Amino acid sequence: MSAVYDGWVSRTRSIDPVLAQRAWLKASHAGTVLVVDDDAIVAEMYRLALTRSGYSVLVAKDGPAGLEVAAVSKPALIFLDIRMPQMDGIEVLQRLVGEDSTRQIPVVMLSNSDDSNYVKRCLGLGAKEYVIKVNIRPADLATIASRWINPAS
Amino acid sequence: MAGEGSSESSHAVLARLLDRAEDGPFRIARLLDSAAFSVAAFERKDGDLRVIYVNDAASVQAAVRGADARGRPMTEVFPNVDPSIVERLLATPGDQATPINLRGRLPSGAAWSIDAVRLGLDQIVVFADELGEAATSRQHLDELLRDARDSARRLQLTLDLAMAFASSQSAREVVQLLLNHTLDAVEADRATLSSLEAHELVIEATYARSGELKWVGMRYPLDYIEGQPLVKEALAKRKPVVGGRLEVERAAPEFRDALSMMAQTANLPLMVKGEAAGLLVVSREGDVPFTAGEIGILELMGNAAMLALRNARLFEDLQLASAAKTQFLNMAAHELRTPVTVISGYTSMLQTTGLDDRDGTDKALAVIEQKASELAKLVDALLVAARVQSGSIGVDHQVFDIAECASQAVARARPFADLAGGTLTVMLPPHPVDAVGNPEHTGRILDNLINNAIAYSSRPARVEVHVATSDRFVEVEVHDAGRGIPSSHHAAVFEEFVRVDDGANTLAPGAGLGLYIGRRLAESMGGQLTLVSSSPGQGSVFRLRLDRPPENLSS
Repeated sequence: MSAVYDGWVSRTRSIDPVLAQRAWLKASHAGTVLVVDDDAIVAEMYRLALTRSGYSVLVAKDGPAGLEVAAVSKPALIFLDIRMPQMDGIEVLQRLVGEDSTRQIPVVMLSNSDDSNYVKRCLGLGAKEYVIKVNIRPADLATIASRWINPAS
Repeated sequence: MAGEGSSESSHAVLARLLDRAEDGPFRIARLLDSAAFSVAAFERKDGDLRVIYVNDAASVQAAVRGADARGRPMTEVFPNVDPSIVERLLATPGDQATPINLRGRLPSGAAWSIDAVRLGLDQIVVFADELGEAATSRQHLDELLRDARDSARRLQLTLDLAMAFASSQSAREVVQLLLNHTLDAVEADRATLSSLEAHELVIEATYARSGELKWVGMRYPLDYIEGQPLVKEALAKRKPVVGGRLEVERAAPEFRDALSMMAQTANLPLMVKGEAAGLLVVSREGDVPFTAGEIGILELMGNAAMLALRNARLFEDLQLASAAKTQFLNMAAHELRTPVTVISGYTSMLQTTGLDDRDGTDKALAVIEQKASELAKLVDALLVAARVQSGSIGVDHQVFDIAECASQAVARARPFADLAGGTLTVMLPPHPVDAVGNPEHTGRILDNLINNAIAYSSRPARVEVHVATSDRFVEVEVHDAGRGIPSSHHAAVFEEFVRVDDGANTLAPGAGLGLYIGRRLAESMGGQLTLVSSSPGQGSVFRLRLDRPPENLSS
């Protein structure tokens, strides 16, 4: 009985080397994402999860750093926190949209604040999605990213 | 029946007057076809004043016959009229044309005089006694008509005002409406509205015909009223008091100039639910006394305004409280979700795929543990904050040794201070120091002050805790040599969820509830928590002050 069980487990756990490589290649071609978040622990968690899914991840610890990284590195997608010291995510979003060099980068808001005014303003400014952090698993970020990153680019 | 007997005597009075005045009453009735006037008889019925009045020729005849004709005479009873007034009315013979100058007020709020009694504002009863004279004096009739028109105009003003009050949710708007309309309604030169609070008279605003509405907002202890006999009398009697100018010398300095120009005043206590809730003082430069009719209208307007003002204030408070609650909930949600995000995030990563290496797994578990403990502290702080906010923190005051309390708090903070590589010193008197309050609350306040001092201190942290006593108080001060707080933020640090973040802050976890909770807890113990001094680069001094027990006052 235990042999059957082991066999089942091994089948599901074993990774087809070809499929795995294809998935990795696909992901690694998915591009670079930027995470802007002042909470270092949260940012590290998201970096880890996105890296595992094959993304190159840049982390900026506040709004001004995020703007700079976005302009220089042109990430394929930005995950943007809202409540941050110095410059909040809404202002960062405004500036991203206001700059020719960053306007085309899709931005997904990633916050634990579900204040409806925030949601309205961010979507109004052109954010692609407004995601409540607590409602998703870190692994879901890869799925969200894949929705907005153009595979051709 | 007694009632019938009374009616008959009223009819008898009318009949007598009709006989005496020939066609007088009919003539009046025709002249006054606006039905704004009535002919009436009055009598005492128990303690009440009973008025029978008729509006036209037909009803006069009906009244005389006591018949049930088209113009059936109408009877109205005014309860609890001042007995002396009724006495004087009845003592005035119905068949004498003696001029009488009785003036007063009916319980319905209507003003009366012997010339005319106003029932409500659209109706004037000419008392039967006046009939003969009224019928023969065209001038008198003109006066009555003018009064009627004034009454109608004031009625309109009052109705407009009542409508405006009903739709106003702003306290300032109510005050503005009242003062504007007051001057229009009675042709006064200045009107001032004050609110009466438990121990204070709050002068809200004053409006001069010549100038603009001025918001005053000054508070005076209630004995301020002692210097103004007219106001004092009005508040004591809960009735309007009319008189000459107020005592200029005893008025607030800023009102002396304005008051010295006034010759006449009307001082009205404004009642809400039977309590004097406000005071309306209306003054005139010309030496024309305020009439009963004018007082009546001012009372109507003023009382309505006071009620509207109170409602508007309640509404405003409610809005503020509701906004604060929404903000509190939004912030609490955000702050609670952050550690949960990390805990559930790492948990899901560990569950679904495992972390690649032992090191990564250990790190993830350490983070989860740290966030779980942060979460527990946060939930605790939020619960205290919510209780503090709802005022449900108990006030079980006791006498306790605050020196001991401070030294325990310092001991609790010692590991954090060591971690930050700083020094934490405590300076205590060599004996117990009694304070009134709650040792647990005090410990919580001190924990927060000391932890803040360490967290926000420049490196290496240098924190001192002092316990000192004065005559009445015990004070614990927490000094740090830290980065300090810009003066623009001094008030804000005591608000909920406020953190003064200069970007260099890495050692300070927390949701910005500590000082908010601390101040409320201190207040619940009858004490104070203040920021004594702080400026960038100079460090901060926070002070908790509690009362000493009364028996220590003598020692």
